[in-house]
Amino acid sequence: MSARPAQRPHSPRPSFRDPSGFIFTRHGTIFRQINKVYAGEYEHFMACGLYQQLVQENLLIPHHEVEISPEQPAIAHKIIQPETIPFISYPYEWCPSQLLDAALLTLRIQRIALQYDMSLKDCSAFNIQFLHGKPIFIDTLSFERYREGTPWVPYRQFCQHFLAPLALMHYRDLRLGALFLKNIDGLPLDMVVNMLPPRSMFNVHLFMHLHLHAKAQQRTHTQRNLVTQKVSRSAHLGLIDSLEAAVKKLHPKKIATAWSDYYQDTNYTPTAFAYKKQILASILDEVKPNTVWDLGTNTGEFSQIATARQIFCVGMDADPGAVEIAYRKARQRGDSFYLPLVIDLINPTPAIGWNNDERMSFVERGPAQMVLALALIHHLAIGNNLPLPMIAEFLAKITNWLVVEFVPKEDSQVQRMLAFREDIFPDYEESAFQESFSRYFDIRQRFPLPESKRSILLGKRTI
Amino acid sequence: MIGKFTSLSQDLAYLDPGSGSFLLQIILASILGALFVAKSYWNKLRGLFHKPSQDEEPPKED
Repeated sequence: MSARPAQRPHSPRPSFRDPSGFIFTRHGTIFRQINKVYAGEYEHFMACGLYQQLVQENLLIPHHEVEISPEQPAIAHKIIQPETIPFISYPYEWCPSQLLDAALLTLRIQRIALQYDMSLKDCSAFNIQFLHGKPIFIDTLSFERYREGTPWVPYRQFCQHFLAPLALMHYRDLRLGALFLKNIDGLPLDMVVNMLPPRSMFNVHLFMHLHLHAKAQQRTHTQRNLVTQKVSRSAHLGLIDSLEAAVKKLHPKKIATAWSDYYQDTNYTPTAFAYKKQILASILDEVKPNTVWDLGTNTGEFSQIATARQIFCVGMDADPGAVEIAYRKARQRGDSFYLPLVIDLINPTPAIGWNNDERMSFVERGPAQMVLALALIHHLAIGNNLPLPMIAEFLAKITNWLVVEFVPKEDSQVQRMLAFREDIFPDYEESAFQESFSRYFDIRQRFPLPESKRSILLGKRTI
Repeated sequence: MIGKFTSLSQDLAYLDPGSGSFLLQIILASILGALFVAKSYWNKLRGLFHKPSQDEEPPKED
């Protein structure tokens, strides 16, 4: 039995829809081929000063041109190598503020582009990634020369990818961001307006861009010559202003999270809590991983121990409210090594899109150098009936090093979980836990937490 | 009339703007554009009469 994920023969191909070029991977490095059809636009983009300004302001991923053999020589103009993104994330894994920041970034880029007589030709939320704690635009081939009078083609895409999910999360529930997973080209506007409360119509910008927009989409217009008016530059800027005003009003108001009181509601003593942090710090100093995944990151309390050491840490939590708080806190303290994401380990992000090959699954984006599974195992084993050997197997699939905490049955948190249900977990005890994990990991150290029955184990994958 | 949109029929505009979205945008943009122009003039006019105080400066992006 192998614990390693099946390797794909090629990287996912999210860029095949745009004839301007595509991404490919060679020897583990990501490149972008620019096709001949886009040569003129690309050279103009590089020469007109727009690229320089966007890169200078950290709005666009920097790249350099490389002399390697093209992936498809017959249609190739140039090959560029963009700066590496340490962890690819997707809009359905972002909290509202991450999507909102990505939306504002897109509009800001469009506004700057117009100053250089260029314009975005697509507005996909998938064109944004997070780098050094901030959103950054990654599709260098999204720019084309602005033609006076032409409407903005990606207007619909912007509304579907950004406005629609933001409005649902603002007015209804933070968890509705996950609808993006089922709708790869953004949320259908008719569905969204059906779900929005009538009071959302009082926001004039939302009324125009979502409610009226959904109505307009219901009619199919086949005659292009019905269009008699041009969209002037000031009209274009007015549209961008209005979209920006709409986005800015969609900050999540109340963040109800199941986990916000988590650290106040444990049965740790302050000594045990401080000791747990010390243990983690000493492990990180000893192993020195480049990347850490903090599973069940909550608001990032333990992730910070890694990021304070300039270790890039992806924090994952099923609760978008917790991730929202984690993201805001990280922005506040200027933490450029932390990326909190909404990922549910019980049902991790699948691969989606055409041929299941456009967007990667959670597991495909690993393995991590180190995984932190602190105060997590009891939620998986008791809360979700997952057998310990299956948990160990899964963790071995996604990491080389594991820092895992065992929370025994005597612990008040586990007792609470078992209060209203049958205890069907006779094997849930530390010896069975260690046995399960020893199948995949060499247990290097065990740290009992003082004034607690919990313990932390450090393991290195053997399979 | 069709000639106005030749640029959209080029290969680079690979995205389907959606016919309804396309028409709505043209209508909205004309209204929003007028407001945008009015706002620009208003700001210019205000600028003539008083200097912007510090809190009126555009917010800096971090």
